[in-house]
Amino acid sequence: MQPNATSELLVTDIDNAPAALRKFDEAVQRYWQRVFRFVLASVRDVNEAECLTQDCFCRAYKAWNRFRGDSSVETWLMHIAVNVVRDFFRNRRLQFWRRAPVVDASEIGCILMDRKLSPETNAVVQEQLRNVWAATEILSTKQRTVFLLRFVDEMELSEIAQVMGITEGSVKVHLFRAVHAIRKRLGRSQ
Amino acid sequence: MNTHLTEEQISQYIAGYDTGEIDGHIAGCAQCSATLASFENIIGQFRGSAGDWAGRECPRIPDIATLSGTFRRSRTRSLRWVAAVATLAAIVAAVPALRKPVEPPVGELEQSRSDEQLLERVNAHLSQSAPASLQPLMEMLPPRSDLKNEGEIR
Repeated sequence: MQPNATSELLVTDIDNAPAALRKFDEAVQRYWQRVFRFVLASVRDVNEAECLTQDCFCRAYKAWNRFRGDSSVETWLMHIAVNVVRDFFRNRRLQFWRRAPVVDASEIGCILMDRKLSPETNAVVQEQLRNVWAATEILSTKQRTVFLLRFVDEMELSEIAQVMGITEGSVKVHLFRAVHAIRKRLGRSQ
Repeated sequence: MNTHLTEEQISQYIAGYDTGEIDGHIAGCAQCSATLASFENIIGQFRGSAGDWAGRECPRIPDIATLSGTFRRSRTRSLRWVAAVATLAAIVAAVPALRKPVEPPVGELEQSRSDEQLLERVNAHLSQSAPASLQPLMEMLPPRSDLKNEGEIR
């Protein structure tokens, strides 16, 4: 992928350079929300999402001087976020005594109630949303990550491949399985 | 005959498999394009809900001073853990070397000696082959080893 405008944030030594620190701050202000959204949709726990987002930027802070600018800062940060989420789920599997963070899908769907929709339409939308959120829960970590990057972050397949460190073909396979599972779930509920 | 796209073909199309055949069919089939539009609409709502949720729950974005302070604190905290573990290990290793062997009190020592002597006397008494009244006769006999050699006693 071609480095875009965000590659200007490239710096060499963050510890000693105030300018580098300023650029890192720019990256934080620009991408914090986006990283948080991806992490929250992945782990579905607000407290965990806050911690993991901070962890993601902490890793970026430590590795800032090693970032070569081969990709955009955005892609690089998303790559770190994907790894942070993957590690989180891996640790979760080992900590079998802890309950998986599950948020009631209706709680998420209720946010749309504020929008100006008719009650009937709202009810249908709520139901569909509940089903999509519930369906993403049963996907594998890779399938869910690909699905969220494609449809929540609206990334191109090539970008997703770069962020996840897999081939574009693998991205398509994971995405196909995710979409198929979700459509099946939606079909069953209708 | 089913002239519409299968569920798998629609999923393939959404996943980005580029097949001209599917593309051409969707362009000319109202039902299949409606199925696709319906899914895209749901996904749009899903994206909106994810964005709204994150927007509602996202904490205030920290400024770099706060953030770098947190990062440094976390680094110091981890170093503090390493130091604490090293100190604890050093203490655990030093404890056996510092410990002196514990000697029993004098009274206990004398008691155990007299017990041992008593046990020896009891053992000697029990190991006698004849009662005390027959002991003078036993002393008149030759030693047991001599008797064995002569084959008189087995």
